[in-house]
Amino acid sequence: MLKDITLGQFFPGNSPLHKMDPRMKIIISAIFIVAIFFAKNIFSFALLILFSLILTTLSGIKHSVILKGLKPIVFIVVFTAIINIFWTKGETPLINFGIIKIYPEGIYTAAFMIIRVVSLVVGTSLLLSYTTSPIALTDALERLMNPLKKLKVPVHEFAMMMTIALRFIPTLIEETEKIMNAQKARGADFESGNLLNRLKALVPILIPLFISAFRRADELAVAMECRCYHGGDGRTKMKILRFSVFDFVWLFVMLIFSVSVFCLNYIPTTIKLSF
Amino acid sequence: MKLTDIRLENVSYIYSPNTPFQKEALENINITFKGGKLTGIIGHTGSGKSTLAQLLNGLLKPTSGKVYLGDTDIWEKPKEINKIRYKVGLVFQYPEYQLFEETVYEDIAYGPKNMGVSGDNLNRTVSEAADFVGLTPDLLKKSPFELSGGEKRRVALAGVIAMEPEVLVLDEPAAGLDPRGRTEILERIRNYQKQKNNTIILISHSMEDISEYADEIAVLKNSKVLCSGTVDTVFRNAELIRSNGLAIPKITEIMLELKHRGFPVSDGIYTTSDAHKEIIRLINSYKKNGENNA
Ligand SMILES: Nc1ncnc2c1ncn2[C@@H]1O[C@H](COP(=O)(O)OP(=O)(O)OP(=O)(O)O)[C@@H](O)[C@H]1O
Ligand SMILES: [Mg+2]
Repeated sequence: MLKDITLGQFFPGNSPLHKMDPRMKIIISAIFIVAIFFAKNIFSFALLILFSLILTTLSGIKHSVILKGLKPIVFIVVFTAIINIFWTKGETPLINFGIIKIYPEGIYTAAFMIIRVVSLVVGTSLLLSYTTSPIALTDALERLMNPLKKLKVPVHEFAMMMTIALRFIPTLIEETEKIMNAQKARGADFESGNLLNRLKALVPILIPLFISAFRRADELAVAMECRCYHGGDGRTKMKILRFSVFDFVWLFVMLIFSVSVFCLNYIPTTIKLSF
Repeated sequence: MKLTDIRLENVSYIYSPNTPFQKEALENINITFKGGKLTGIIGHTGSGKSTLAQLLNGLLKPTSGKVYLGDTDIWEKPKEINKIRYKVGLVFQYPEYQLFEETVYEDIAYGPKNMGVSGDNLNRTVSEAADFVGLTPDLLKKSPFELSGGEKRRVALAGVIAMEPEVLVLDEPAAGLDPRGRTEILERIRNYQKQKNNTIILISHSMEDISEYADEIAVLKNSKVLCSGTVDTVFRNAELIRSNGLAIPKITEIMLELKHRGFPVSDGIYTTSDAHKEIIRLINSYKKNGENNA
């Protein structure tokens, strides 16, 4: 059950997406997100889908993995889609049950909304989590935020905190699973009973988990101190990030993509949307 | 007490199937753990011992194959898997981390309470379990977090023993303890087995421990059972075990070497006390021979 969380999981590989400079990935993701929110008609949405499919193919990540990664957002997507279907008002209702009126506009809005959220999640997770190791990602973030150092923002410390947090997510998941198993072996039942009982059943997991998290934090701090960690000043990197031609090709493609999305919005269509 | 066999039939287990992290931890395992016996499982790190342990009490479901407890397939009614977990107690590797209650007593009582035991019965089973693992009554009122590592280990062990399982599976109960702690905890497990006469499966890295305490042995290698049987039959295959990179007990090695050099020592000596007797016997027989010759 916990193993199904693929959000934030890195799949090592050798695809064009894996090879991209992580800084470029962050920039490209940002452009992609903006483009998604500019998409306004059926053509620009079609381009959005096409682009997500191309990214998926290039990444070499299995479709089943990507679908599994969408599981956590299914509820939100379905919920918003339903709200959109019932609340969007148009001119001629498609179905009319007195109080409940469904307009074609509502259905379009819902469909576009689904495309938007799904391509947002697929695009960013392909770029940032499936094909980028957390370490590379935080390194890139630190580099991108470097100018903020002039404003006395502790960039390195933030990046370090993020690296550590990311580093310990799998460990904590593993640990939670181990503790859950140990308590299950003692007859704990997490899956039945009312809400109160289920909450109570969490106590035997949370207490050992907190204790070990604090112990780990403590040990890590000591270990860092023993290795003379003193923040980012004067620290050199083993892997120095350098943009390649290839990265600028990506940037170029991305810019063309967003301009196309923008332009396609001006092609007139009969479908009216309410956003 | 009835003796419960536990049997694995063509069991395989794959972690994270259909992902890049796919890992076959057990391959086509066929083995029977005999009721009323203490079976030792030994194997290199990563050979699948802990995975096997979790298959026995239904924490993991075999990817293929069946696990039988007595005559019932434990996954026949998946809804009632908890009943199987009451019957097959599992003590994890480094079980200290599972403690969470305010007092040692409460922590030991957690399992039995989940089973619905209460009142005098609960009291009895908790103090009996504490006694088996050698926790003194004054420790029962303490917080489990105030105890030493070895004491925590015993509390965790007692927490499972208190559920009075028919089969007890112990994953490296002595790992990380000093030699005295090791012998003590293993002695206690053996005494518990003798008194209750139930089925125990003991996982260990140490051939010495296994040969000293187990009736039967199963050797795991690379996700498969390399060989299994009584201590005698397995160590008779000393060559097979050695060629697979596992050590046979040191004392057995010495005796084999003595035999190799032409001393008439008997086979099948796995503990120091047996070796002691055998060597005394040998010396005495030489003395006699010497007197006769004189
Ligand atoms: N939760 C898991 N997810 C993926 N793979 C796992 C998991 N647990 C174990 N494995 C893998 O399965 C194999 C068998 O592991 P297992 O824990 O059963 O070994 P073990 O014999 O108990 O080793 P040790 O003596 O170190 O405890 C190992 O190669 C391990 O990497
Ligand atoms: Mg193990």
